Amino acid sequence: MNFFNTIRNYSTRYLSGSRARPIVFAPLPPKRDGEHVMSFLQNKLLAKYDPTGQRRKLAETLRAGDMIKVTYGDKSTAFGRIIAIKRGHNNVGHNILMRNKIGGLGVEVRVPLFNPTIKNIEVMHKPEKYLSRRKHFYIRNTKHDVGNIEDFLTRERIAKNQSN
Amino acid sequence: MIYLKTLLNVIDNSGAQVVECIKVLRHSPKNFAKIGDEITVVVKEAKPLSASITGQSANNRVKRRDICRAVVVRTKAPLRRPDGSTVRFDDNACVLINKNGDPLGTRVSSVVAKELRDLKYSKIATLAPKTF
Repeated sequence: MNFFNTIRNYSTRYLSGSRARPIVFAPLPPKRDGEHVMSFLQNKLLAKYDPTGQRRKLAETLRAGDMIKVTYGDKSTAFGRIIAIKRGHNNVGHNILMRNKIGGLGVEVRVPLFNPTIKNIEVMHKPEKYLSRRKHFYIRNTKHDVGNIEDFLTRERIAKNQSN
Repeated sequence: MIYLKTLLNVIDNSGAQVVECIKVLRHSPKNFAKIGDEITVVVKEAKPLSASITGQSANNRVKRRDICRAVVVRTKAPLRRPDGSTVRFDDNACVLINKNGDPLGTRVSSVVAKELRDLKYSKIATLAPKTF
């Protein structure tokens, strides 16, 4: 708005003199109802990739230490324990870093949360007591390291069935 | 990121256990090998030859100081997939191959990256117990 004020000041100064009056235009109406261009675009992308808001809600409940199962459109699945969640500020930049062990070898995958090829993200297990810190990079190759998540989940399911 | 002097685990039954990269093939000199890239390696550690091994695997057995070709199947450096996800493994590993791209061994012992299936190394991907 400062810009228009300066123009107006100029015009009054010109008026006081004997020179010709400059042309002053009315300010243009603000684009997108005054919304900032980045937030406008990000909201548009979020509406496109997460129309129901379900993924955004899920991201709020997830925490490093949870075990999740990611199902893709081609029905392939990936299990893992979350070791970090990168959160964007109201944008599609969220991603989840999860770790698993397959045959004793650690494998990590960083999954973009709003990836359209992902069909479902399911929370399989939440620990009673979480490790400290938001990001668990320090668990790699220590006693806190993850085991085979699939084996763990099957064992847990069997134990639950037996107790019932 | 596999380049000159990188040590890799060998996950097939060719007899080699640890190899050292001596050349990244078909890349500009400053570049490095990723999953699915071919490299030339020298065998640093190998399982001792024993009389009990017979058949095809005995013919393709490699010894220490042998020079062969290999394809990278796992890297510690994250590999970016077209959908924006990245994959990283806890070690650098390769499978020894001949000049036609066929594996020297008859077995692959642990997990390999999914990318090999779409390249000309689909045989390695099918031999592996699991792809990730």
